[in-house]
Amino acid sequence: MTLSLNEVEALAKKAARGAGYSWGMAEEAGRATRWLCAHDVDGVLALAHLLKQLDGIEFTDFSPIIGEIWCARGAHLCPISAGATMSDRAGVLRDHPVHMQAVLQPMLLGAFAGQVAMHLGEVVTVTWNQTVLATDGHTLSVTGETHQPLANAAISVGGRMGQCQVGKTRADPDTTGLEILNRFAHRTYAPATEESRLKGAGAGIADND
Amino acid sequence: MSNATHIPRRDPAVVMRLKRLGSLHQCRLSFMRILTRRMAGEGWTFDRPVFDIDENGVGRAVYTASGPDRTYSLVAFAHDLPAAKRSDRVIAEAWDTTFTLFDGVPDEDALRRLEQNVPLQEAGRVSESELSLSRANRSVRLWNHVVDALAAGRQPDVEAIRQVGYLMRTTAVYGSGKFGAADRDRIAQRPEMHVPFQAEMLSVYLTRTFVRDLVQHMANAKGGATAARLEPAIARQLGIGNSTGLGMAPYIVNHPVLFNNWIMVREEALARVRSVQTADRSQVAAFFSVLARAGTLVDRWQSEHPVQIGKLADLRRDLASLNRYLKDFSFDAPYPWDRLMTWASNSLSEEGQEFLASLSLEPYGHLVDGLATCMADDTPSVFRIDGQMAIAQARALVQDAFGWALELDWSAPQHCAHAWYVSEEKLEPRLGERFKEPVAPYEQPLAPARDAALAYRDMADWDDDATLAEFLLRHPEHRHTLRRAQMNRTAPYGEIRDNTISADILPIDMLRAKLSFFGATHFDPRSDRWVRICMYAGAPYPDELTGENADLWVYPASEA
Repeated sequence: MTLSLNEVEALAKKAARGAGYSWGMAEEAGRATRWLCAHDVDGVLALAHLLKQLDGIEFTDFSPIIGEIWCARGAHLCPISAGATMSDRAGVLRDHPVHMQAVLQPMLLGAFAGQVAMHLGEVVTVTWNQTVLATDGHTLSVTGETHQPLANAAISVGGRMGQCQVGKTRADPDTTGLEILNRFAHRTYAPATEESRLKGAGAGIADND
Repeated sequence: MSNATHIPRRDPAVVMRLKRLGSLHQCRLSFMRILTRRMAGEGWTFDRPVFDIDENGVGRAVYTASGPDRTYSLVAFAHDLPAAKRSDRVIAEAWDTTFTLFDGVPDEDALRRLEQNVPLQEAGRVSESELSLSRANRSVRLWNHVVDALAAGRQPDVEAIRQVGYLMRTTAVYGSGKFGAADRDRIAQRPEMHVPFQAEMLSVYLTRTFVRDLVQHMANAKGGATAARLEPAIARQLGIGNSTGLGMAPYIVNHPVLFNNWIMVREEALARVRSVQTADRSQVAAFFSVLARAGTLVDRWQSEHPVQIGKLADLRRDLASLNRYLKDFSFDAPYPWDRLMTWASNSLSEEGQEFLASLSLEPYGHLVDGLATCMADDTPSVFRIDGQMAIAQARALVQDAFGWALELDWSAPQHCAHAWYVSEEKLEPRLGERFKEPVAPYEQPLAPARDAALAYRDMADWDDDATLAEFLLRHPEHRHTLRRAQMNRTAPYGEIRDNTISADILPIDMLRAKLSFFGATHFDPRSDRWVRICMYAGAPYPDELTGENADLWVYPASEA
């Protein structure tokens, strides 16, 4: 069963919110997951692993401290928080590369690199271990392993696009990732009560006439 | 959008109040009218390749609509629904009829796949070949009357048809990637689908034809050879009802750029017409013609809801005032439409002002209709936050849209009495009582004014020159709000300038704002949070559609 990209984005956003991200950061997670799926990378699984790894940890412990090397106060850096922060400061990437230490699921950085590339109108490259991602915002090329739980990553302006990923209009994510995101998303739903059933949705005058 | 006007668009502070948004009326730029104009203009053709319905009204049908480049098909399934299961609520699990709009013409395999999924609605799955998913229930009172009358060889009572307005009402029309359907991106660049909600409007247009055919089929099954054929003039009065609940209200908050484009286009259209220096006689005559016909529309508009009863009284009083004023009004003096609107803003309620605003566009299709292409949201890049922006500028943006909200005591119960949340059951958006129900932890970001005030407060201590990026690193909880604030730079009509969680919020105002752009009429609230409307009443059926009747069908023939 394939999902529309709209469904992927909505689910990812809800899941991130359910995991404790602010709404604005959850929106970033939704966009990033959609973007990866649209470039034939299973963003759902990457986000699912991330949310599991960070569940119960305070946001301030995994968001970046900006320095020569971006790192987290806690053990690991969150790619959504670090990626969004990088996108906010897209201009500085022109001056120097950004190095990040101990980033979870670094593949998710690819989506933010895409956002920056689109804004700057230049190719942006993300590297970790032997993996190289390059994107101009519209397309993405990947050499090496996409699913990496943890790595030090470098993001820089410039680089050459390799063989582009096939653009997708549907997502076909691993069901494990979907199940995990659905579990996190469920935390955003208020348990139904009889009162909410009747009043919350505004049942009023008869609806069967 | 060019700006060949000297009269500016109205101030967002005036336009974006809920009371006014809850008083909007359909106009030339309504999505239904844009669609019927296009279909007539391009000579679309229509067919019914499948109508396989048994004498109990169970089966399937396919209706096709073919434009210059593509064909779309409404696939309809008719069911035998026990009366006890019939409900307009989203929590319903069965319906009289279920539909999908198929991209192309479905073959037998596709029909079989759809037959296993479409009747289940939210519990089923559709695919990228489907552009919408919807369902409709009978209006029991009118359906039985029409079937019985036709079966007995008589025409149904016209008054009964006017009272209800439709044989079936849709209770949800899902599009844009919902339940597996195609994403908006897939069709957005097609000329016939670029204007918002064209797939949904087409699906409802064809649904209306199916319903007409189905009621005839049932009457024939019941009455046999002596059954009467529904007279086309009576059939034309039948619209499709729609019952809309809270689910739609968050939409206009969640899509600030899109909603801005709808409002801004209508405001631009109004500014262009107000800037017309000299109205020629044919334009004035066209205005008086639709004014008389719109009067009939208002006369027939009924509601049992106290709020709408009051608004209808206002509108009728306004209409009388307008007609009196027009008796001595000189269309020969310069800028007649601007003078009229200025008079209206001082003399009429919001209902009357917006009614006149919509009508004044009617004679000016050449100034107005082209704006339809500006109603879509084609700007995904506005999602990215410009973190280099200085805090002083971010504060100014918040001040601009929400200045009125910054001094409000947002902890006072009357200002935050409600909280929007999503229920576990059917994932339906609901509005809860913050201080009476345990819903606050589940609150959705649907109180932009309160959230803007909170962000503004937290920005107060920051240096003017500090960047938004620094602020957001410290305050990720304001990321959503400041993204919106930046959107407001290019989308000045994107924010509702009222409190969406106050004790006296009327969600029906938000519903009406959206539905008016669809082109809905006969707003009939059934509570403060759901509303019934009518769509396509008066419209020509596909076999009747011509350039002459494709546009003004919304106005009934005058009874004068």
